[in-house]
Amino acid sequence: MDTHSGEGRIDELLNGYIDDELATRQRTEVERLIAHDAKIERRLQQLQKCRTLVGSLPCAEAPPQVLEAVKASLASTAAIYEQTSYGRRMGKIHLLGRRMLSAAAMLALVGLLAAVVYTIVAPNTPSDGPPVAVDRPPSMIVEPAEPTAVSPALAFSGRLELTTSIPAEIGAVIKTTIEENGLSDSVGDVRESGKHIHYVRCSKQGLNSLLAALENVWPRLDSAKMLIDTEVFGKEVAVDAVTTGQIAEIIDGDSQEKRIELARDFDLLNTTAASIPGANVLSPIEAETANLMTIPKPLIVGPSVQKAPDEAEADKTIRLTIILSR
Amino acid sequence: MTEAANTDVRPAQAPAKHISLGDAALVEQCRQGDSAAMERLVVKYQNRIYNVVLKICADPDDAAELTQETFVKIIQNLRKFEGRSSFYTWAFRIAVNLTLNYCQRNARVSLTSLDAEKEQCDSCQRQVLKDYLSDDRTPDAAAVVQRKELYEIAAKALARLDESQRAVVTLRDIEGMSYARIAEVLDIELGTVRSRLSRARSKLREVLETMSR
Repeated sequence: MDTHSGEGRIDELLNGYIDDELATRQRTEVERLIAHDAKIERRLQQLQKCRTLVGSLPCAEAPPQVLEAVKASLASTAAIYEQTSYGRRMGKIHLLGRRMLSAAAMLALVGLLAAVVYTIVAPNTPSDGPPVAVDRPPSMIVEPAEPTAVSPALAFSGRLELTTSIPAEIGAVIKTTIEENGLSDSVGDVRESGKHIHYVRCSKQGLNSLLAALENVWPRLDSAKMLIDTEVFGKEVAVDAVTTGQIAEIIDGDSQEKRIELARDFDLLNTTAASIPGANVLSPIEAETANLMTIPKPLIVGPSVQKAPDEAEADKTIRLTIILSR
Repeated sequence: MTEAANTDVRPAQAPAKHISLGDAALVEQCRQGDSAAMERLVVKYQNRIYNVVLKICADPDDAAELTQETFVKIIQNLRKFEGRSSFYTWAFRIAVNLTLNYCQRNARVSLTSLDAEKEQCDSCQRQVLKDYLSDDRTPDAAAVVQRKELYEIAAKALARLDESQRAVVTLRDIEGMSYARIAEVLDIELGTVRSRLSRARSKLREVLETMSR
């Protein structure tokens, strides 16, 4: 083993010596060995012969087609690269397009969702205009006469028969009230056989104003009867001991059927109330205390809406004949 | 491996000196897409690379294909070449690596024994080899070149080595590289070059002696 490794070591040195790859000191050592050992000298010769033999092998020349083959190979590789590069570029464009399309679809979806949520959550605003916060004293606020004035116009035709011991006085009051409420142009005043007949053609709002004004004289009436025309000519529905509130409520009915139904109910109610013992005592008291606990409601006001003359005329769908007698 | 054997006694060369001006200029022109420079580079090195590849793989067709593949790889990777070694070393590293990989992939089991090869040598060749080996004088390369009978014997003897030994012997004895450059091309230690070359020549000597008997 040691001999073998020693020979290997010597062979390496000898090969280094042949190839001129030794340091000066190693070279001197090898030369000393060669000079003193014929066997090593012989081995050196053999190694040199091997080296010379291999080194003397003729150099082979590359086939002439190598250069052309290299060019062709590079050209095809470049073509493949170009093709791949184009494919990648197209792929990137396609991917970008798909991403943009996805983003647009998502935005549209979010917009739709927002619209749906807004429809559900958003508060309803009045049709006449947005409500505004009022930063003024209550006296400066123009209070609408009645909230019912905004009800849709529905034709009404009826008669109000009032009896009183002081028809002249009440008639004057009614006339004045009508004039004060600006309904004079819609009022016809006829006197015949001790009766004061007023033909009123007005809108709901006008009627409500009139009724609100008549509220003060209502207790001074002996009786108040309202007769509502029906679709059958000459067949009326009467409400005895009717109040201004009931009149307003009846006229405010959504439909003619509703009005008639209300009128019948009020008639029954008033007749029953009149038959209760002590009603004649309670009535004045109730009348006095009716507004005691009334708490003024806050008002939300919007911009005043000026209606066109034609529109205002079209709203005058209520025809009421007021007959005042003794 | 001994310490002395591992010692690289040759002074290390500075990297800047590795690139000869001609190669550096050609490489730069190739990088800029100069096809004429690329052709010059191929023409300059094709024979040397083909020769080394042929000696290692021992097949002219394979050698031609591997040479072509080497140049394609060289040109495609020129941008990666940083100049830390010479272009010559870098190019040979690619060529030898490709060839060794190819040989390992296509390892052909030699069914021909040394005795059979000995039989194939005619008496004339055997006598020439015997005379050559028994001559006590220092071998003369010029004289060997004239004895063309020895070429075939030398090629057969070289083919008896394994690929890694063939690579070392070829790079040293045919291409004339220093041990340091061989170490760089094969990416091995300098000591490994020494020991591998020593074993390769010992085996070569044994093969030649066997063939001469």
